[in-house]
Amino acid sequence: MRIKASSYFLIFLLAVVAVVIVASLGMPYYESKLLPLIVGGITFVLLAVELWRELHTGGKETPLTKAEEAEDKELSRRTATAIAWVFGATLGVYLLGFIAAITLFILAYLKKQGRSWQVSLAVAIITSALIYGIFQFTLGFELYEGIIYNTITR
Amino acid sequence: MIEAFLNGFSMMLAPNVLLVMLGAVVVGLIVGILPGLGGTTTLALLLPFIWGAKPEIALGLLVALNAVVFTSGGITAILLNIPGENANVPTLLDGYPMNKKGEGARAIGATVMSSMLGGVLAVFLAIGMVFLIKPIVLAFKSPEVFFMVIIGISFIAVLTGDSVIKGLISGGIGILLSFVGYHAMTGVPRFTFGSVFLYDRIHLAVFVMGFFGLSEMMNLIIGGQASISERGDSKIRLRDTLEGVIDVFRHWGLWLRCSILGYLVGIVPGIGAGTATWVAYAQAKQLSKTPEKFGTGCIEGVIAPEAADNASAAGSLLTTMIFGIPGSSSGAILLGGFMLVGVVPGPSMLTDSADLLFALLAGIAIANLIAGFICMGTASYLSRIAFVPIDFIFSIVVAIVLVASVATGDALLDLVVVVAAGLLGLGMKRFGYSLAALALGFVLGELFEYYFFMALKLTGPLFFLKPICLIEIALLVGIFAYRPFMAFWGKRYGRAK
Repeated sequence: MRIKASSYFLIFLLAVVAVVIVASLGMPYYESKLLPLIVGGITFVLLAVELWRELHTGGKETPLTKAEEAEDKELSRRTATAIAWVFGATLGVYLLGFIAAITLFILAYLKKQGRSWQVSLAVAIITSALIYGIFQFTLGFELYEGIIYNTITR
Repeated sequence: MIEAFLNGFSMMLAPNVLLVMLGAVVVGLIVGILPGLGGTTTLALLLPFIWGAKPEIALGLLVALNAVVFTSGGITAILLNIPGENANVPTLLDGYPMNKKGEGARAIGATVMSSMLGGVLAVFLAIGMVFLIKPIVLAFKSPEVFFMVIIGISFIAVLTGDSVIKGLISGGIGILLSFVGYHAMTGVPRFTFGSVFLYDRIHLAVFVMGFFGLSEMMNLIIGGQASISERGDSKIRLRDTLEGVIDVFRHWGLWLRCSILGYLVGIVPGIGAGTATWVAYAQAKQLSKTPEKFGTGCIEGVIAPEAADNASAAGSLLTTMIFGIPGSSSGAILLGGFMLVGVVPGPSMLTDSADLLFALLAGIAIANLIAGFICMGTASYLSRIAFVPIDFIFSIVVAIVLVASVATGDALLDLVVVVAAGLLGLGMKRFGYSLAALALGFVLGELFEYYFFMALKLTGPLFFLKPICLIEIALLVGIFAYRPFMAFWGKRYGRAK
């Protein structure tokens, strides 16, 4: 039996809400745990009902055709790619700081999408300059410089 | 009183005040369009500049900023699926799909006109109700506000999306997320799992940026679209904006209803525009002849929340001035600003400083008009964003969202929050859950708990037996009975035919 991706998502949500309920039980005052228990309990029951409905009505999938299988694979590949780019940019910010990571992220992403070096570089530099100008220069936010820079200059 | 009214209006029509308001509108529009840097941040940043200014100049600057940020927040919701303010979240439900259909300029035209007229109408309502406001505000105590919050969440959970169960699950998860952090009443850290960062709760603006903005950016890449707009034609003319403007007049009944509703919700302390816009959206859908079109790019779905948005800002401001109770975080900053220039809010505003009160109301009307015309003039240019190739949009918006999340939340760990919220949003969108219900649950969760315990402690366990509460409970039953009743009615009507 193949279980739908949406059922896995429901199981994940069920697990999170179960953790919330268990954590609520250990809280010291009734004021702090009453509503988390009530809302968590109701949400848990609704999630369980939805999961039961999915598994008993649409959970079992009919075998996919070759075209559907290919489409499914392509969708999964695109999803993984999009998430990877976002994770990459976030990790880049942590390691290199905002300005360096953003410049590299935009340059790399646009190059990968087939844009020319000139266009990619121009967009990357202009965006980084605007971000620096607005956030750091005008609004006075101290942009994070990255763990590598901070370790070297410590 | 008439003298105070005329004095107040002439104060705001002085050339130097108008100039300051124009400058504030332009600054508010530019900053408001940047994701994450909404009105509250802008107001807070500009507060030091009013120190020592004349009251009318300071009032002009503050109310103009307050008016424009809601309008500009609606524009980013339409263009990028990133609301500028929490109150703009309902606007993206239909505004963004309209943008995807290549109708961004029309949606912006409707947004701007609806909020502009809503803001102006609310000023006249405020002037008319200035002496009636006291009994209304005093009638709404903790039990009544608690049920108002439940009604807001239930409306959205039941009405958005195809499945009521999924809507309620979304709302429940939203409320649970709002419980993360220090519990104000007992000082107990809840669901922080030892992380000091979470003691301060999940920052709402950071969460919303990830949940709606980042998830939509990933969704666009996954969908393999060439641009946000699914329509190839990139010719956008002033005519498209005017079409949206005319739409507001075509649906004038809806606009009027939502403006009045927004104003009435706005005057209740502690509720604010965040609830007003959801209630307006939900009732617009419930009373629509074509409710199934809501969420797919329907113009009524844009007009309703935007009319309530600016109208509630005017209502909230009146409560702030007369009772000194701010309705929102931006209201609290405004209150601080007024006190900085020697304007002390309180019931004496109705007697000793009535001219200042009317000046403030006039300022809201004028600021709404200035903001409306500037936004309308630029709408056709702004909506071209929908036709920019998706690789540019994705890389630039992801970069801005990452920076804005840390700048807004003031902690590097907000990067984790924004990405986690993005993934949650992506999953919920893919599997048909209501993003709107989760967002509303998250926005109102804190109020939900606060008013529940206030009602319980002040009125006792039978707090729901108060007359207004019983009306609210009946309304709540009506919300849940609505779908089954309509299905039953449809079957019966079908059979009779």
